[in-house]
Amino acid sequence: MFANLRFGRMVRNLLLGLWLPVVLFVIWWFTSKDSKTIFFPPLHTILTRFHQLWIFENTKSQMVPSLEHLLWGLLIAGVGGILLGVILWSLPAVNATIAPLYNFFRALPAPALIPGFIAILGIGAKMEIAVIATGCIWPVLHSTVDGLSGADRLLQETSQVYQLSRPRMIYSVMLRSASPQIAAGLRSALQSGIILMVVSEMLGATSGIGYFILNAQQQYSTADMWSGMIALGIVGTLLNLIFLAVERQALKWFYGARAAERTA
Amino acid sequence: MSPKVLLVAVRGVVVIVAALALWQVLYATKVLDHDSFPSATQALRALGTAVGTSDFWTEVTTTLKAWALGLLIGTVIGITIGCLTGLNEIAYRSLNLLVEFLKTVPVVAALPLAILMFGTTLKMNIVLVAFCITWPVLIQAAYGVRSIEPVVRDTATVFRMRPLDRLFHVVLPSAAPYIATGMRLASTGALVLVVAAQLIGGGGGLGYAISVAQNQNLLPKMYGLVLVVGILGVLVTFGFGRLERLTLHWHESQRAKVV
Repeated sequence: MFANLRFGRMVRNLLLGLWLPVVLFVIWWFTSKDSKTIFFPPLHTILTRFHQLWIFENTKSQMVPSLEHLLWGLLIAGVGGILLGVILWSLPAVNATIAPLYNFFRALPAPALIPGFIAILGIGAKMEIAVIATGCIWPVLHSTVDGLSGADRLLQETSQVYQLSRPRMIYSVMLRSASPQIAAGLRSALQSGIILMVVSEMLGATSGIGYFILNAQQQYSTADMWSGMIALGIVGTLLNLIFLAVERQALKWFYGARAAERTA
Repeated sequence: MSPKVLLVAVRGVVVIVAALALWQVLYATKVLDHDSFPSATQALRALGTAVGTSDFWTEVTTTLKAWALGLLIGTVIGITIGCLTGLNEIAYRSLNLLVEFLKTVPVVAALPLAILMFGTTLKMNIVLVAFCITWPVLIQAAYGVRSIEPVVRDTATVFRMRPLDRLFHVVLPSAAPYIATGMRLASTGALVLVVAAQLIGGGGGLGYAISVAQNQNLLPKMYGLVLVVGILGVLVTFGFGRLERLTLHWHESQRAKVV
């Protein structure tokens, strides 16, 4: 009976969530049907182009390479950020001294660095990966240091009593307890990574999704441009959802503990 | 100024000077390629020359104007729709899925469309920023309104407060800290977007100036301008937190920090 009630509510919420997008889609479809303006080609033209381009030819040739660069950049930023974070946390004096410096880089809008990277590395994959790695390392570093410093003092003292070696303590106790915060840092790294991927391809690349969209716009192929925007929107949303799913799974213990704390 | 603050400030200055000195040494020892990197003194000198020109200040104000106006427009739209949907369960459920989706769409994807529609103008920058700000503020505002204490809400009903009084004395103050959080998180992203839009699409501003300096191969000036963009970033990132504490000092979420 209760299960039924909950199921009914779920269906109702889903329907409530979906009617507006459907209505907007229908409005877009019919208002753009005979559209002659260059900005808003008919929706069915956009969808036809989307089908022709992105299922799956351009997905293979433009989207996958872009995502590979994103992945490499994020991997470097993630591993580098966590390692640097651990080092800075174990050296509080150094951390306090160079904090203004890394706060500066954390606050610096990373796209501003792209022309410099183009001057150093030229255009192409290497530049793109370097830009993503440099732009995304700061949130990871910051959240690692923050998470480690915020960890319960008792944890550290307990591991000392159990005579855990220092690497063992950092890996199995401290990093684990900081992981919810590190995950938050990684999530914001993912979001800026997507932006940097697109912007660096718009400024210095001859392929990739960012290049494709800007190039289509410059050639006034607006239906192609719209199809690329839709493809990027879908991929961006999927990446976020995948990240959230992995995070939920990996941090199950944390959400469980927090829920238990709340009801207690 | 307390001694502790002074110590932090002195240490900050020392580190910045040390970093610039390191940059200079790396240049002098040719670790940094001279074709793609200026020295610290060259960059600072170029920046010093630029600061004396009115062009530079126009660029700074253009960037700030695009950011601030976009932030203002996006916030007003976000608060209005967010409060309305927060007050009504059906409206909230209807909009929730759509807004959550729009929030994750990378706004830079819409940059070429914005350039096409508005040209390489300030307006293009403002529209993009407003679009990027609206969704997080809307979500936070709706969330804030929904989390008003039932007792507060019922009290307002018992006192038969008029709708406008209720809005300004109950709904908005309760949602304010949530809205502030949404604005703070979105404001740094908005600056990133402004710089990216100006780099790619022009429309004046520091981003545009950086790409011009790059095209004219004026590397020292380019790096000098990047430093200025970084300073703006620092002001936005840390200024917002400070502002939040100043304006919302009465709220318990802020009071907790003081203790």
